[in-house]
Amino acid sequence: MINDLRIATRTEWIKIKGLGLIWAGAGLALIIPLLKLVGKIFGPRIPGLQKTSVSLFEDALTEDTGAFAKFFIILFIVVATNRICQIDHKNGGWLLMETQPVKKLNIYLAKYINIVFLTFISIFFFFLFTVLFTALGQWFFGDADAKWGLSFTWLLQNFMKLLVSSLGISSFMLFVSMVFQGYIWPFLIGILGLVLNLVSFIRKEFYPFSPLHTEQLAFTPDIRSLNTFMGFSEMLSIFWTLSFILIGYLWYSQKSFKRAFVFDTRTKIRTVLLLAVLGGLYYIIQKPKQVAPLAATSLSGKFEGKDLPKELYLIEPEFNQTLATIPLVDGEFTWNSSDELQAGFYKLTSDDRTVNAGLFLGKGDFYRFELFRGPSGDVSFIKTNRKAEIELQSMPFGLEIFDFQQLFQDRPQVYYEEMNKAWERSLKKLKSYRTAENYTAADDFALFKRQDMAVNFLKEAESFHKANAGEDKTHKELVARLEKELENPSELTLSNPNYLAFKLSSFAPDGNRADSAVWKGVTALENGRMKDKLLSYQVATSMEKLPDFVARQQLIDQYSGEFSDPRYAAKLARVLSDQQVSLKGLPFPDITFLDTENEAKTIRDFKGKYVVIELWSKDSESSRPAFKEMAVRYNWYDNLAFASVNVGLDEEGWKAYLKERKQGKNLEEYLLSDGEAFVKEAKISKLPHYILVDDKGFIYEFNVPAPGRSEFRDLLRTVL
Amino acid sequence: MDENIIQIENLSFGFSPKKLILKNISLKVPKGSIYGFIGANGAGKSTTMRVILGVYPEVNHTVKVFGEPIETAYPETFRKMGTLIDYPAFYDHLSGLDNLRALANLRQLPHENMDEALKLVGMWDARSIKMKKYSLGMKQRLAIAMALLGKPQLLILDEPVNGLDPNGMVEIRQLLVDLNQKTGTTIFISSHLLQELEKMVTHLAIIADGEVKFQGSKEELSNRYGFDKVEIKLKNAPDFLKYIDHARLVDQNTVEIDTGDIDIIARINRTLIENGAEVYRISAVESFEKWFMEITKKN
Repeated sequence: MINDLRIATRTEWIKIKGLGLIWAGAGLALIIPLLKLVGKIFGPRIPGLQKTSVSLFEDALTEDTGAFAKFFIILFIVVATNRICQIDHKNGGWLLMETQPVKKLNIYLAKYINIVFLTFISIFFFFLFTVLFTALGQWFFGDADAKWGLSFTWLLQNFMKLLVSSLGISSFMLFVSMVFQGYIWPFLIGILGLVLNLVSFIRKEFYPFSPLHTEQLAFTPDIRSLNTFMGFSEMLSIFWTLSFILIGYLWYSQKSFKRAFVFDTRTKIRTVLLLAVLGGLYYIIQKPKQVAPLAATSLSGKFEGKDLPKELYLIEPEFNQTLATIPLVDGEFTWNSSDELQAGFYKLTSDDRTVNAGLFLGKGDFYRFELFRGPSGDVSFIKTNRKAEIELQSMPFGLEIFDFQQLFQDRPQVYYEEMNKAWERSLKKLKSYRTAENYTAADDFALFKRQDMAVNFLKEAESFHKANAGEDKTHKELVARLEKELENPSELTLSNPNYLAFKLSSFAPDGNRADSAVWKGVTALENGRMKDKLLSYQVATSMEKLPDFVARQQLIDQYSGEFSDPRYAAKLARVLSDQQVSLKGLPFPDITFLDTENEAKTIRDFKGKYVVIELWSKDSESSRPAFKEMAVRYNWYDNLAFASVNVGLDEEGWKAYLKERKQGKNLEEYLLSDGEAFVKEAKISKLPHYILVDDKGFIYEFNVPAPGRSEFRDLLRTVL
Repeated sequence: MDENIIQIENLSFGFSPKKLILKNISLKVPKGSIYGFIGANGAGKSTTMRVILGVYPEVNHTVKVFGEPIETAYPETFRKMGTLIDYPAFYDHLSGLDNLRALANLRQLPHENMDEALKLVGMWDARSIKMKKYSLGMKQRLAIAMALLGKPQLLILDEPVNGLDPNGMVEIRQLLVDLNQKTGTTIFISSHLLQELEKMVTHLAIIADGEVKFQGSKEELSNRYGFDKVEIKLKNAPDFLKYIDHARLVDQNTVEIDTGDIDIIARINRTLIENGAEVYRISAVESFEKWFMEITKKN
């Protein structure tokens, strides 16, 4: 059998001689690496730009494999499969083969094996060209101290993921190309699959039902973060491979759907069984998974690079206390605990920087870190059972409707109806959300996210209602529905600043948290956990608006007797200490920026305006479009300015960067010459960092949420 | 010649049970024969051949090749067979040699077989040219070379001389006859070009409208239907009937006799002249083709 298949495969290989498929595979593999090299040769040089790198080649492959996996390799399979079948569709090739001493199954499998081999060659060429051209580019134009190493395991995993995930695509396209004799239909079906992939990419949705989707799933920029060597996309691909080889061969053996599947009772029973087994398998494979918690909570990992810390600290979220001190031995650390652990957003820090600021951790969770420390920041890869939670943290829901609030000012009822629909959509998205590894969020986090969404929707509804007065039935119904979601806030929700702020606002008739009604309302609450949380949050956030240390301390003293749990008073003392360090509420330092006209500016030049300052480095440039978008969106507010300040580049590098990216046009760009020193002194752990300075030059909010988050707009709303 | 290489017993086949293409066909192709399978276009020749080759599914176990039912015979039995069905099948982006190479690889044959087959059909010089540049005749020759690969014991050829010029037809016919005579290869060959097969077959079957009208050796056909007939045109034919044994009167000036023997014809002519008959013309009146036309016209 194996020898017969080998002979058939060799024969099929002879048959594709002269079709140019190897050239096509190599050509498609060449496009991206070549374009990048050309860009490097003819593009502008940006001196001084250096970001933390794991490996020169790994960075290049990570950056470029996406486009290759999502488009070029699929296109190649569509074309190659079609071409291979066409040679038999024309001139009686099938009949010729079927009257030779070879089994039909071997003919079918031989074709499939050749397609897989061609795909292998194309992926191989892509890797080869990328490595080769990256080396060339680096050799002639790159930094002297680039990391040249390349992990074989990483390379193998990336290669295998792409290859195995392509198996299903090849199997499906072979089936389609066999059934449709013409060239057009298989090609159109292939292109339809590519379009579907594009839609899924844009809508951030998941289409496991499309066999051409697996390659897209397989590619994830951080291969090192995958929990398993081979995962969901590969399983799905193997499922499609088996399905379409079976269905395709059954069809081919009879050359008729009727004869293959519904000819007589026997074939009908076989078809029903086949569909039941395949349907069952599909259901099992595509069903989103929640990783079961382990017996013990576990944090472990290893650091690579220079100046490694000696120990790490796990900070619990409620009182900002150090829960564990974890020593590093030869760059590696391990912490296991069987103790009860309240789920929440923990922080992992070292003496000099934050390793991870939003570690969603509960009992039985595991995190395995791979950290590469560089002078401009850490690059980290995380294997964990909380993948979906990590992704969902920054996932906005419902924003698409909030953005169009102004369009509905004279039609409030329509807006509430649209909000209602947006709420439904958001719930559906949250419920169906899964990562590329097919993980879905655990119930505790899903409830937290749902209640967080409800808070955002309620805030939006209330804000709109204020601006568009008049009682409205639809508004009441919507609010009642959303409030029902918050009837029983979970432990996580009770620690959510978004919820606490909303809850506090609800004490004041106009929602103003500075109103005395808020203080009255919160202190009148029954003693207990809810009161402690609300009051501590109210005190902490109110302190920021007080001008000096003494006033802040007085505020703490005024309310510290109200807490049932004395740890909250202690927490406020720590918050005060942090606020002093982070300059919050204090005058913004008198530092000088350089603008694009080579003129020096200070914060005084913005007096009379609130200023959102973005501090960014080359490492964090990916977040800049979101900031720019906000600058454009809030352009019409005369009392608000956006300033983008680079802190890593020298003057020449900064100007070259702006020239290349053309990002200075709709955004005021500045350079802070000794920016790194400022960042260190202000204890800013991670860039980009956003600061809101008030119209008098005082720091209004030192830790502004990222521009893409709804909290960012909530904050701006309080000052506009 | 006792052994039958192909044996079909009561084969009926159709893509729909209500519309049968082949109706109760029985055929016996003796080993070592050149078996002509003759029928007009659409009579069912190619369908029969495809069923024999297992290309169309036959579920009633009516067909055997090399004594084995086709359900179990294939694909191994194809090693002993060479085929050419309908239009020559090939890969036009490959050269003639590469086409043969693909098949030779599949059959695990040495390279010499390819060279031999190419030379046999006169395609050696054109072996490196891509097939898309071949003329129809060249393609037909190469298809025959492909069928001859591996020195098969049975050749199944569906209209193999289609597209060949008259010289080419003669050459291929001679090639097949030589092959049959030298190696004993059984050849099952179909055509609607009756004059081609008439001259080369040892056995034949006639198919019309999905039914076999005749099958047997060429001699059996001649004996049974007597297609060697002579027509004599003469004045006052009824007066001379008494001088010719078994003569039939066709009209006032024509008599017909069943013979192909030239000595008998010469003797009859002499007798008629001696008895004062005015003979205008003596000619053969029935050809295999005319008879074939008649037999198929009835349906």
